[in-house]
Amino acid sequence: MFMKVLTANCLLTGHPLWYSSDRTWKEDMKKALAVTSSEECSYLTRIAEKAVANNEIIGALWIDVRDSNGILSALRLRERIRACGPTVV
Amino acid sequence: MYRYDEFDKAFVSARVAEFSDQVKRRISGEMTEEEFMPLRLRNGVYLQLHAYMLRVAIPYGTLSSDQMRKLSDIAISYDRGYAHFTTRQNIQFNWLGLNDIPKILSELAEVEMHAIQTSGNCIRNITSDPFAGVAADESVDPRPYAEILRQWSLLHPEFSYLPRKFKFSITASKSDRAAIQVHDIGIQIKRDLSGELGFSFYIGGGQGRTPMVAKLLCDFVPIEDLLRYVTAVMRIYNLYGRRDNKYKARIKILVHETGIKELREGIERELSSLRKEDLVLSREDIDAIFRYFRYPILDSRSSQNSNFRSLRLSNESFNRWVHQNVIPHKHIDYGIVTISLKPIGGIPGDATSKQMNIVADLAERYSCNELRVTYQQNLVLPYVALEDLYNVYNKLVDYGLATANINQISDIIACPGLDYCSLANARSIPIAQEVSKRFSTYERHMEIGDMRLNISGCINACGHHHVGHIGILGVEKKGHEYYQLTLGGDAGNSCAIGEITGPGFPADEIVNAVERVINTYVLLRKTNERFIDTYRRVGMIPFRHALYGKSGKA
Repeated sequence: MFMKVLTANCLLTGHPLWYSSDRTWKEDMKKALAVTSSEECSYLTRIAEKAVANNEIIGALWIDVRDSNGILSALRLRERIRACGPTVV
Repeated sequence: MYRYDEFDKAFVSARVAEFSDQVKRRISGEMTEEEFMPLRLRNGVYLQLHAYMLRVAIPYGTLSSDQMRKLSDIAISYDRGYAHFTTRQNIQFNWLGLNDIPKILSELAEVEMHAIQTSGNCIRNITSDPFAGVAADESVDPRPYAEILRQWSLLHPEFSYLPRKFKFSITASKSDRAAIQVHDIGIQIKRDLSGELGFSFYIGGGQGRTPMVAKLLCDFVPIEDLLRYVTAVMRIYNLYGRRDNKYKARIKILVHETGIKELREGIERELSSLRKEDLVLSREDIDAIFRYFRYPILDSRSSQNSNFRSLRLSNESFNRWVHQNVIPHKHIDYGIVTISLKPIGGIPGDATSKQMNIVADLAERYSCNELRVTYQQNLVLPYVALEDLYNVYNKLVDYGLATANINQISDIIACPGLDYCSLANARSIPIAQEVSKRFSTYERHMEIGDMRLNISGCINACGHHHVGHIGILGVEKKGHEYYQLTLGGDAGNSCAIGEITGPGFPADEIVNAVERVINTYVLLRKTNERFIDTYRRVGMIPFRHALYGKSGKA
């Protein structure tokens, strides 16, 4: 079974955003709404298309995640870095 | 350095106004992202992993103190207090909001800077020797010629939609400090036997997924034919460069597929089709551009040099820094200072707002208000009197800028990699930091000697890994970062593309692998032999054995 979250960037700030369980776009991946079925994906894709049309977000895409004791993390390092920021100081 | 004329000022201001309007229309929804993206890219605005990134052009890597202060202001006012100097002598701000970018461009215009043609399939910022104008070995200052090419290429209607991006580099020294042979067009200005200046044209060099060393296209193009010749080359590329495949669209592929001889004949035919009177570069035009460069008058400071010599003898750290970071100036009383942006364990090419300000102050006080950016991601004070070096050094020490490691193993070129870049497959910066820390001591640096270690986080090779004596390329393999090692690359006169050692190494093994390469070199070298020379003499085999043993596996 797959698990995915919907991510995009904020038009104004360029910051990464994730579609959250309270139906808003949040800058915190931990609040992302994870979906596990293609029906949910189709439904949320339509929401993302509307958000793009309304200029709230740009570049919406699905990413694979895993749930470790209630905490979501992306499978790809790229997406983990997007979520947590640069790994260097 | 070059100062804007009225046309330059009006042009840049008009461009800022135009882009401000485009941003407004994008935010209001009048314009879609699809429509806006090519417009923002033409103004140097990328969307990276965490925010918008703005790439600002630093033509031929020359900056004034005021310009550096403005960059520092932008870093502190609109970004997170730092910025990144790139391998094409530009600067990037990583954390910008879209709304702020028109204001930033407007502020940049106040100090004669912009971000035009720092992206897109056009002629990009023209790079040059960071020691141009002050190097003892140059035939002429190449920057006025770079400026002529910049003006010629700026929004050139015929060359604004090329098959792919196009990079020029120009030098006037025998020693290539501008990596001209890994550019689409590399130009070396030189004198013929009669003393006349002319241009050697190299064509089709580049890095990326298909690295190639440029081929000599023409050994001597007379000065007056500069613009006619580049026009002919660009026309042939524009006409025959591939547009069906972005990965085969650079001019290096055209050179490779057509052959240099046939391409040269085509360019010469194109050249002869241009009317003789068109695009001729007159002596008056060249003189006018030279007049727009402010050349400082350097006073003699010879009477005070004895103090400099005694300070070198009495202060070992200062002496090491002078030895490694200062080279002779064409004026005997002055030195060319390279300020390392590679502190041990630091982020290559990054500078904080405070550091930028202090460098601007030092340039104002000790270097005729002038600075340079190198493609190795360091800064240069080009006009420092030997007598002033000690004061400059002490100030640099206070701000963490006095690392004495130029052209040594910790003077690493590294792209931003996966920590910032949306194209990257793996991180570059943490590997650079670990390598730097592993070889951190002065003794180890001196033992290894001259070394270029370059790291890229993807095959686009912004970190110049192909031309590092040791190159490291980050790749993603089954969700993990792996690092491919290359040896024998060189960006200078003996330009070469590094050879892959074998299978890649996981992130926690790559620094050990580098150390095995270094230890093998130390074992095999002759007295005073540089790494690159040992590699050329003994070849890959001993290094491969050291890395993989007999099994051939990493």
